[in-house]
Amino acid sequence: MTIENHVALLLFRAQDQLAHGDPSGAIETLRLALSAAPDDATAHALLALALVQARRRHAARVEASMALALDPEAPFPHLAMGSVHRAHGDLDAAEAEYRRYVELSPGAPAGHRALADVLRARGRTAEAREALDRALALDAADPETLAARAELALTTGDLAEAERWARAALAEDAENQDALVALGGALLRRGQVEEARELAVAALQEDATSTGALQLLAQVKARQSWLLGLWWRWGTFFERFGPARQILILMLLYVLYRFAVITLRGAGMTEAAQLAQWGWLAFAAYTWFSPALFRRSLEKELAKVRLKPGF
Amino acid sequence: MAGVHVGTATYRIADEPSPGRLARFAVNPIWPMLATMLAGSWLGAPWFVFNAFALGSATRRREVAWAVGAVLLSAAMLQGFFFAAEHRLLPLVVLRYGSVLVTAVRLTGAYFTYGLQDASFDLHRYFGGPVVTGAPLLIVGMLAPSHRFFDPLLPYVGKLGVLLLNVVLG
Repeated sequence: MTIENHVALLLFRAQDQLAHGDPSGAIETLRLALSAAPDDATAHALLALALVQARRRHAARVEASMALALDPEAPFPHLAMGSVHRAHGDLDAAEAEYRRYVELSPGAPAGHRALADVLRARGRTAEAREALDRALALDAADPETLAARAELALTTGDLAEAERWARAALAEDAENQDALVALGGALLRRGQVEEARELAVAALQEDATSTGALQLLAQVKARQSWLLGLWWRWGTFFERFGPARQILILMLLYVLYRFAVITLRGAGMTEAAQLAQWGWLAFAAYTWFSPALFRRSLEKELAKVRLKPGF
Repeated sequence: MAGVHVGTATYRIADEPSPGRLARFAVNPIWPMLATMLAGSWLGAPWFVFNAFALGSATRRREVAWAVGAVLLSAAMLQGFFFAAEHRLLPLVVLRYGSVLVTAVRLTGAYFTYGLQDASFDLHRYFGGPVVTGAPLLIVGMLAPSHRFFDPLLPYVGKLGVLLLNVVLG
């Protein structure tokens, strides 16, 4: 077998592993491919996507940059770099890369879908809808695009529309993760908690690493306990800011709390200062213990999930 | 190209650690983080630096920069506050607020170092690297009379210098 054939087979295998939620497996396969062909731009780009899935964002950026340097006119490295920017929360740069991908490969629904995803994240839902319509015009039965349409409807709060698109996606592919999660999300918002839980479990049976399914299950658990639900809402709100901003926000809260205590003491209001200290202590204890309790509650649920044979 | 050996995975990904002899002393970075909070930067910052090398972390330069930079910046801030107070540029009460900012800078540096090192630690464990517990060192650090550490430097740096070292590293 020639190196080209060997590498092509490895890339095919890595794509399959990625599609089945196995980024670690894909990374090892691509390591083999790049050991044989270190200048293969597609392999670097695919590795960047696998690293994004594995949350290794620094390495993902390096790989996507290498892919772009090796072949700047190829569409796929732009898709990979867009995903790296998206993972870093740099939506401007992600949109630019996805637009470049669409420009270079207008016939690929994946580009329009990725663009729609970033536009949705930026709150430009009308433009996101247009991008998804273009993807549907290319392939009206693509379950990924139908599921993306359901997610978009869920974002805009149109639950009936979300359910309709999710069911259309599931009619094409009964195991589609995104569609199961979007349908679950719509049912949960309607108060159908148990049905949503079943859909999350069904999605996890297909892919136990599915972030969307785990999030849906966490939302279900958050509905069942107000104490944990409060932490979940705080956590999801806080998650939007990215790690660096999160640290800065927490430090700002700490500085404000300490300033308040000093000021209150200086004004002779020792009881109020004491109250502020108790409040801060309670906040610290709550944010320390809640994630552990939440995780334990989620793990109990996950222990019941029966994985599909061969996962 | 046919016949070339293609079965060995030699490609190295950018963030993968390259542990050396110190790898057996690697700890979960939560321990230096706790050391910074509970014992002081005199223990936390050097421990972060040591751990960066023990893990063979791919981001060790940035980790060292954050750990050391935060201590240096907080020292400079404190020096600035003292200077301002000495020359009556600021009222004394401002020093109280200033000391909070100094602590916040130290902790921010520690959190950023922790964030970087935690990712390297995950990979270190993924590749089966050895891990030791940092609890004994943390306990020793917490029990150590850190407020007396810098007293022997009194003839060289003066009272103000000792105070500065205590606030920044203690």
